[in-house]
Amino acid sequence: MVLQHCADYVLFHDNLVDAGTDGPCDPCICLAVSASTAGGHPPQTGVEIVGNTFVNCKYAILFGDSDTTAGDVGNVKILNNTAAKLRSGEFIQVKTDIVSGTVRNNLWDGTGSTATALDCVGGAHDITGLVADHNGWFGSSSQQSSCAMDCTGDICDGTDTKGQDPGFVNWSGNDFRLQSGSLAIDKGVPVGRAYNGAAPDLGAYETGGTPPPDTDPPGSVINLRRMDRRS
Amino acid sequence: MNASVRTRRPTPMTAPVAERVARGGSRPTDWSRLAAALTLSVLAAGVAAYGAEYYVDNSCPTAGDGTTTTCGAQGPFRSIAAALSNPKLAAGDVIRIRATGTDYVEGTVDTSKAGAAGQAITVTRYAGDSARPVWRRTSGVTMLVVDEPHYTFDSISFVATAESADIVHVRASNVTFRNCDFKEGGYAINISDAGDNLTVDACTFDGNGNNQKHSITTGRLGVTAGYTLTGLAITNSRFMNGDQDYIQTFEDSGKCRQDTVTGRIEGNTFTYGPGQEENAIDIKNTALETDHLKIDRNEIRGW
Repeated sequence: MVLQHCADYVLFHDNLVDAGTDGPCDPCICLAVSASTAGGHPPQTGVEIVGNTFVNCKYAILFGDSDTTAGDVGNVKILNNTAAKLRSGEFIQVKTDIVSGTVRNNLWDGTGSTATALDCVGGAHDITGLVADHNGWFGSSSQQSSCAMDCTGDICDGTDTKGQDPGFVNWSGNDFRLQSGSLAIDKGVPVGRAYNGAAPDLGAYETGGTPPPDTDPPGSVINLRRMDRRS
Repeated sequence: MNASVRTRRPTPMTAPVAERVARGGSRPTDWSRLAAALTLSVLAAGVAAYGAEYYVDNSCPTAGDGTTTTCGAQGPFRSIAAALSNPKLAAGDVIRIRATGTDYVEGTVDTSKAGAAGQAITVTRYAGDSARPVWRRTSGVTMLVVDEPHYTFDSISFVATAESADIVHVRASNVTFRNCDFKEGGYAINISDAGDNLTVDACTFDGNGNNQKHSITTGRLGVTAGYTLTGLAITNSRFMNGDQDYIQTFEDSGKCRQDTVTGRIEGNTFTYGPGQEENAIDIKNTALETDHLKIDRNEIRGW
């Protein structure tokens, strides 16, 4: 749905990408980064994917493409995103090397999936430079990462909400704000975005503070422009 | 120029003294300032005045010189082309097009005069009209070529029923489209590397069933590899019923990091067009560490 072929310093912030359930869903990738075309691409740098909501896609984020010669990615920031109802399950699918970057404060809903949150296709891609911690994931019966990463625990830190319902306001109605008392509240680490409480929440929707919580009725379309967006 | 018959907008008190005096506005109380102002006003008389309004009305039986709204010799132009080629047109002027219910069907229209910083030439509907004038092209030609800087198009419906040609080519800087509709067409807005600071705000792009290719694209108007386009702002607009990528920043070299596009794509809504073959946004260019391309707070649905 969104492709970034060789786009250094493209900032993808606070968007809602929802593939819906009626379309062809082909290829149905919410955000493809360094998607390759013939000839491959050089390393891509400075990409920020922050505060987005990804819904109903096959994958939320794809690095590389079917062409495994796609170039390396470096200095990537994947922060405070919420991914839910993904058809193939993976939050991030990796088909290229990622030489540096951070994956933090994301919230991944793998309900009904056997997929991994972070999947290195074929296991041939080196992402050892990717620092991943303070992410939350739940609902999947499979492992959190198939990648060769230098981390332990749940992608990759023990301060997450593994296996537990994070307490979305209305999962079936695509309202992925957090209920009060959610286990994802204050479980992140500061990454430069405004937050309330002792620490940032996981996912795209910070609870509390001003402006007041969104007043859309349950089950309505989430309107990101009326949410608390203070990045 | 017969300035006395031209409708002028009120001169703001913040305007330069010479301008205010030249327009009969408030005068300085100090005689020395007045003398200086009068001197400047004489000098100002030697350059084109700005802020005039011209009118276009295709319901008039004959074409006038565009200076009044009453049909006749000094009445409206009958075509948009005539208004934009008016030799008296100057920076800061406004062209108002009456929504008559009859489309303005024209061939390729070029801009002829440049606006200036803070004094764009504005093309918009009649004051008080609720409907937007419909600008429709004859088949197979580009509808509008903006090759002079500082233009604003406000509340215009651009309609093209054939996919073979584009609606607008932007070949100059500081061009704005606001509250406009773009229906069908090849590429609705095709931007050359001279189109820095293009703003598209609160517009609607409707392919009407895959009959619009890219709604907005760069890098296709004869640019050379390594082009740079800065200040692109696509905001608060709606995209629907498309065929290819709604927004594509393009480079055709097959290499990366040759072309640069910076700016923001912000607050838009993209809806999948049934049968649409491509994406909402396709970025093929690089941005810069000090000047990003920010894709922010959009809603992208379908696919």
